[in-house]
Amino acid sequence: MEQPDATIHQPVRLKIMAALKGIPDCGPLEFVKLKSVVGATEGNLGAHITTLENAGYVAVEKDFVGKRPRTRVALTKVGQRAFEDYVAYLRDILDTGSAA
Amino acid sequence: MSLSRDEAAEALRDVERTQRRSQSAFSYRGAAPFFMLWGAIWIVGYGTSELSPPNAGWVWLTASVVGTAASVAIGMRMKPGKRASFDWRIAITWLASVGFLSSILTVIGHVTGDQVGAIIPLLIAWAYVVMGAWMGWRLILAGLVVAALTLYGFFHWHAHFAGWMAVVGGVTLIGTGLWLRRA
Repeated sequence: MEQPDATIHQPVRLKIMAALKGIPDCGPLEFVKLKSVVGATEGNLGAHITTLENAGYVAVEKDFVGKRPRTRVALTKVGQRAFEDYVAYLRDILDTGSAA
Repeated sequence: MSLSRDEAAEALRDVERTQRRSQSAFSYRGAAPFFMLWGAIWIVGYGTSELSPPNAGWVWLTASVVGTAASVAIGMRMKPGKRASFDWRIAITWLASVGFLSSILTVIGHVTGDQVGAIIPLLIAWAYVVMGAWMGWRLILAGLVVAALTLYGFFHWHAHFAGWMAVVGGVTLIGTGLWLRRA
């Protein structure tokens, strides 16, 4: 990868991807929990999730628990691959001093 | 668009930190219902030991069986994105713990009800600390608090140790469960 993935190459989006990759089966994780793990505001997080969803990197599920609305986010297979490639790109910079 | 080594290192650190936080939050959320369930069982079991000692045996036995069945059910429902299924690792861990504890108590010989009532929570507290080393600091703190309260109650509230464990121990477990759920 000579150029980093522009979608992930943004600190909040990278954290969203990392948070989802960190849990079993890559999610789903509730929006509220994701907000606290990533440390972003609701609006900011929502906008970045939409960007990732449009790229096919995350899947968003909306449902109700009783009367309470719930939004859950999970990493897709495409997203997992993109995240792994991006981390490999970062490691490559560390190992060689520049991206391959 | 390219990154320097420092920027790449900082981004990787961010990734690791976020993944750790995410894993901890996920683990805490998974552990929370077990804390609340067993907190309620401690209140019932130790409460009966304090208020009605002759009934303590069957109440503890019933509460333990109910607690075990409920724990298995909670564990089965927790598999994300998968159909509920029985996890033999949980059963083996549970059976190994019961077997280990029974063996230790048999080897020690005569122990009083209060001693058994202190040893079991101390073993559980030890398990919390060990799990916390892998899952997150909140479990370590929960284990230390349970151990400290158990020892304090055993030595300073000996006449009403079971009552102490019902109120302080049970409420601490339920409170810990709520705290973990919000983490």
